[in-house]
Amino acid sequence: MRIIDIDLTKRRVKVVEDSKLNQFLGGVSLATELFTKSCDPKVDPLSPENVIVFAIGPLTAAYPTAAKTVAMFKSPLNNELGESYAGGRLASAIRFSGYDGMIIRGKASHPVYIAIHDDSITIKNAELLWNLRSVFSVGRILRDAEPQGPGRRSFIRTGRAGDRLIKYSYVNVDNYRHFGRLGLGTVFGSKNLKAIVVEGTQDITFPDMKAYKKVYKTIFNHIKDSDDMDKYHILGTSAGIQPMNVIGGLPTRNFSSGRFEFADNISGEYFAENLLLRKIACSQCPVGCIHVAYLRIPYKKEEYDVETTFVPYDYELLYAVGSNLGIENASDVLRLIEITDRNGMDIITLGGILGWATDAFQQELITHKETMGVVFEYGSTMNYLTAIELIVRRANEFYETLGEGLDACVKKYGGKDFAIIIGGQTPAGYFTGPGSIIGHLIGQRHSHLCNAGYSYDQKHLGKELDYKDLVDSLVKEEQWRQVLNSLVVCLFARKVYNVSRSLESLNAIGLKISKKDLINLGQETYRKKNEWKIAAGQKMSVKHLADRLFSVESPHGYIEREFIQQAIDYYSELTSFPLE
Amino acid sequence: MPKKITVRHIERCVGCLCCVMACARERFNTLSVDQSAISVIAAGQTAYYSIVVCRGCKDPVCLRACPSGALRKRKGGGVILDKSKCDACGLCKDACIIGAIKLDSQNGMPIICIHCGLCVPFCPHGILEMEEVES
Repeated sequence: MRIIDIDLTKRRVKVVEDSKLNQFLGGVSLATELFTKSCDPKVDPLSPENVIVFAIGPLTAAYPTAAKTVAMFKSPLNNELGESYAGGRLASAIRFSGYDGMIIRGKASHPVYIAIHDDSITIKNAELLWNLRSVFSVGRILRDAEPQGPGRRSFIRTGRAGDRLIKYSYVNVDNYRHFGRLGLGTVFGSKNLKAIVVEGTQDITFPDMKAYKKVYKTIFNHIKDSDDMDKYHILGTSAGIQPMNVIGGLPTRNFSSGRFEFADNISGEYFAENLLLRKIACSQCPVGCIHVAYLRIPYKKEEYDVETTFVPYDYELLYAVGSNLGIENASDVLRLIEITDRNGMDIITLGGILGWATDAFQQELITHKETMGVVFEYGSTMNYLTAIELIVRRANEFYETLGEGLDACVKKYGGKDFAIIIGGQTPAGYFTGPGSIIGHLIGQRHSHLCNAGYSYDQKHLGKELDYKDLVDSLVKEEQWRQVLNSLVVCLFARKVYNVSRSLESLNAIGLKISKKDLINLGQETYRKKNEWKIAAGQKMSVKHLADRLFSVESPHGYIEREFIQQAIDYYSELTSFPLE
Repeated sequence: MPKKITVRHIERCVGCLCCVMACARERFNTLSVDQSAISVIAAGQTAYYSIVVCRGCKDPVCLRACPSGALRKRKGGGVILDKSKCDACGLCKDACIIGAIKLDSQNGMPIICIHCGLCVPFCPHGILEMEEVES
């Protein structure tokens, strides 16, 4: 393995070659090894001692959908292990520049960006990029500053939110993909790091090219000809809005209902028929799930002047700043996505915070005095737009607190009963039943992608749930996903890359590994991450879950706190994870 | 009738690079973005992708620019490179103003499309086609 190791404090760059790391294959397994060896679990996430690790996997760029990069860091949002994935061109660019991973330590004395062109790795001045109004401007400037390799290079960067240490800042990858959750952008900001540019020209040859071509073709044709990935290609993830609404699992107005009466207006079908501008793809992925809409906002109406922007949309965003805020039409949802994206914040987290603030305002826990006159009201797009600007400006103590995350808001202003936060962050948009909540709690990222809780709920609709079976199957699935995330393939393609296909893909590029070793790698990675999380002081708790989650009917009826408790107790028995 | 490659529906390109990788893999036996006779150029947020590949000229400009006689006409348009005669001067690349000729970073020789069509089935949107050409 070839790993870039950068210390921003000392401005030292080195490249480490270490064959002992080969046993970790790549991706999340490699990142876990690098991260847990270099980051003290007790570290303050915003201190120079926090460490950022990026890693790609053995299948990166070689097979369809293998376009994800894993990032690992300590999260400033919930003080736990931060793990996040992004597509775009980053993974491919890292591969062709000849590296498997990257470690970033320390803190630069002033704003910098890192430029990687094959063997040349430099730390450059980024003062002119700091606090720019738009994350897209940062991309445009860097494209001119680092002109090499259009079509294969990648630009990742933070927005204003990252510079200002809003706790849920994201890192934008190539305009339309993101390291969205858990505040990687905030960690960038704390290190005075604005962006990373990666570009390289290496060629790679495998020992048996004939075998590789054969397996490649099988996988390519599987993706093209079967319907396993249709959902992602045709409507994209927003295909889920209508079916989720039908079963009553679409979080609406801060989880006060699972049904949104305007769901048709913000559905994947509506967007595709009326606002879809184009679909685009991550490098080497024939699926092209990235759906980009155009947003046209007239200004000076009498002169027909318009602002036109291009806004990517996905299921989670349509829930977070759509149904969850009671926004009734698609263009308004796009406006909220656009402003959040432009400023560089995680939209799922922001939507949850605005939902809480709306209820808190309605119940008079906060008033005009705190909100600087903004009326928090479901469906009121203009007011939410103003509030988002005020959060980014850190306009007063209240908006500062909104920028600290939902836990901080509750601590200061109350409203715990309706603060929808699971494991230190606002959940993904699936109010499907106990499986979704348990999945978020025990999922190693408290996110939707590392647990299968909401699909478990849907598979067992109308049936009595058994907490042991639920926990067993979630743990087993998540351990397997450690393998997929080590390869690294996109989890949207998890049906394509089953165990035998994964082994076949590895074998064809000369990596002989047994089924047993592959499964073990997943289990071991899972165990190692939990070990670090426990050392960081994380405890599993059901107490903090808002009453609202138990007083609103889900597709599985009213969820019982006791059921979640039993599941967590059982999980703790299985994994020795401490309970609060 | 001989055939040549054509980019039929550029507006449909999603920028996946599957054609680029296919040329490198199927023709040049490597995993590469550069060792490929077809390129996909991104144009930032606001414009279409460009797919750059040999147009298959009947009277190729690149051939006329070659001082060492390393390029000869291909039946159906375009050129065939004779590596034994190539001096790696790069004049063919300069002559092709659409940018369809790249130079191999190892030996400086041109990487030119031979209109074999191996990339065509790997475009998920049917953008590339083999077109019959009157000889």
